[in-house]
Amino acid sequence: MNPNSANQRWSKWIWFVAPGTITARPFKNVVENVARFARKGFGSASQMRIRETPKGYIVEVLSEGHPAHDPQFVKYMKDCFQKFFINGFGPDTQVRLTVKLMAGSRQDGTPADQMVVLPSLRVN
Amino acid sequence: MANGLYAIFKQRLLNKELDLDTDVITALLIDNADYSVNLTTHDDLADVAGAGQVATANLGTLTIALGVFDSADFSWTAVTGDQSESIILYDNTHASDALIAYYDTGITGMPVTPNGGNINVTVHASGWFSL
Repeated sequence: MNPNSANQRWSKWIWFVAPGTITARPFKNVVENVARFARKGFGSASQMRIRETPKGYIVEVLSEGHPAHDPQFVKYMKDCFQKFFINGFGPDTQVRLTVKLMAGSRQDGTPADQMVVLPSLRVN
Repeated sequence: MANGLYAIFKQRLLNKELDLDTDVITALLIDNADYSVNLTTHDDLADVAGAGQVATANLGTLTIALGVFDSADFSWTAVTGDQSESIILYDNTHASDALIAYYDTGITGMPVTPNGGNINVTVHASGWFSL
């Protein structure tokens, strides 16, 4: 895979979700449900990572093909996921979304961004 | 070559010369046409020819946990220069800019040809390296 080839656009979507006080759910259920919903929103070619922190969940999606430079599309995705999280965790759930274009053109005349994904190094 | 830690980095670490989560740690984009790594003998940034140094970025949110060194994702901004094939991590606080680690294998998106735009780097979920 070369994410920097022409006509590809990669983006990273990061949600921070502070669950509402009413609906507590096991982490395993959260992972399954978010994965199912994100697969519908982004398609199966995406990578997703969910972390549980003391203040809430961090959901990261690295995806190809979505117009992350388009504010209307970002708002649409934000609204969809916000509704999903509130349905799952309760009405006082706090949802924050950060979107970053990782590779591809912003279609504003500036040079396209490029992306590098590092491996981890294990020293025994 | 393969990814690895510089041998003298390990020595410096054991010798308490470096503090990875408080020092300024810099990621350097490297053009391998101008740099041939030697993990055994190279120890300082001076071992890396200037022509081979394409772009630098200081890392943020440095953490050490259970032997894993990690940082936030970062970007090299408005990068120009030669095609680049590898990445070096070095300690910018150390008096001679101590080399830490070298990566040229298993990097998605490499080699990368700078086009004047940003190069966004995603650090592995398991961090830069674990000891």
